[in-house]
Amino acid sequence: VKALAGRWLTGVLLLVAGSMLWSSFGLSRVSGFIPRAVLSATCFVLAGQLVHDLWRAHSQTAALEPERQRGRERVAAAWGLVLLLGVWLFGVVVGSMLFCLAWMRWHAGERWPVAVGLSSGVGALLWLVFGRLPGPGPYVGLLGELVF
Amino acid sequence: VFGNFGLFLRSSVIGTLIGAIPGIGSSVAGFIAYGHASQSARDRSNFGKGDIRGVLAPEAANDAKDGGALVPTLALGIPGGTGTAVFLGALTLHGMAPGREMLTDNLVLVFVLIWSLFLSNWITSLLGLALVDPMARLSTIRTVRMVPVILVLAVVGALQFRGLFADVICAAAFGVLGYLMKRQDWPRIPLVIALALAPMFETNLHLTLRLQELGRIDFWSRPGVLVLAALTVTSLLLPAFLGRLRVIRGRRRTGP
Repeated sequence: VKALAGRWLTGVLLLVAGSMLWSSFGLSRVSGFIPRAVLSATCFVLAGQLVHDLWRAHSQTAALEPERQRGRERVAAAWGLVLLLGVWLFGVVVGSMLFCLAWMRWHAGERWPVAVGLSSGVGALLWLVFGRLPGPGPYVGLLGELVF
Repeated sequence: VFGNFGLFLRSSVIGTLIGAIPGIGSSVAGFIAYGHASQSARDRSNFGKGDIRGVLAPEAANDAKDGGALVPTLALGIPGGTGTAVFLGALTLHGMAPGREMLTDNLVLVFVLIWSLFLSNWITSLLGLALVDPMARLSTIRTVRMVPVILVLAVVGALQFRGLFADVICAAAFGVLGYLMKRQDWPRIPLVIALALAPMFETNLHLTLRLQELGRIDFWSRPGVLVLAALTVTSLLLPAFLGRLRVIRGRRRTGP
């Protein structure tokens, strides 16, 4: 069941293409000809792929993803959220600097001078790009909007 | 390049043709050339793992598309991409109108442009050869130090478009989708091409179908449409046919 659940993307795409095919029947004969032709072929190919996936899932018993891989994915997702949250709250320059500092210090295990050096470099680059070149200023974030 | 000269030439032709189609852009030329390289290669196992043909084909197409993009820009006044749109604006600022006059009265300028493009490609290639060693050293930097910079640049790229945080969320969602597709062995490049081409395709499809419905055109009687339809079907079926042919040949070679 776990191996089968890992192949859900084909099913989702088949559902999407199927619902689009269903709604294309509301179009007139001429307008719906190409959408129906393309979507019928797509559904046919996806159904074949789903059968293939189910067959593979049935024959695969030991190909479950290891716990270590899932742990790494969770950590990467958490760091991605930290970056998004930082940029949303503090803006692109400060948020990116804080993210680089945190990543280098606590994820990469670098020494403070390296972490501070890299985050300062990133901050300086962003400030140069947004502050010195013509165009819209940097995204200031939620707190920046409240302050300024 | 000299080891894969045929692929280099074919990708350059692809780039020139794609560049001549307005509004498609360099990324599509690169992806189509990459798709062609992976489809035409006998051994595809190293594509996505550092096969030089996967770099050579998109880069050749990317460089060639600038020349192709000049054709509609200068002849019709329709820019092929962002760069040519800026260029068209500069031409207009200097009082030069693209079109027939450009290819008759201002032909000297057109040749200056062609030679500039030719020379700039040579200069870029020479600079590339000169800087290849220091650039290659970048690959020795630990991945864990590169990741935050790459992530930040990705966020900046998404924000620069309109300055909206919603674009960053959208980019992150597509990043997750791309990762899931990779994990489930789904090719990502067709999706990228579809996303780039879909607005233009859908607009023109609806326009054509509406005109057909109103009886203004009959696209099945047009040879251009039939040729394009035949090419589309061939490009869909040919890889499967060639793959099957290779399997049959392989079986014949190994014997019963």
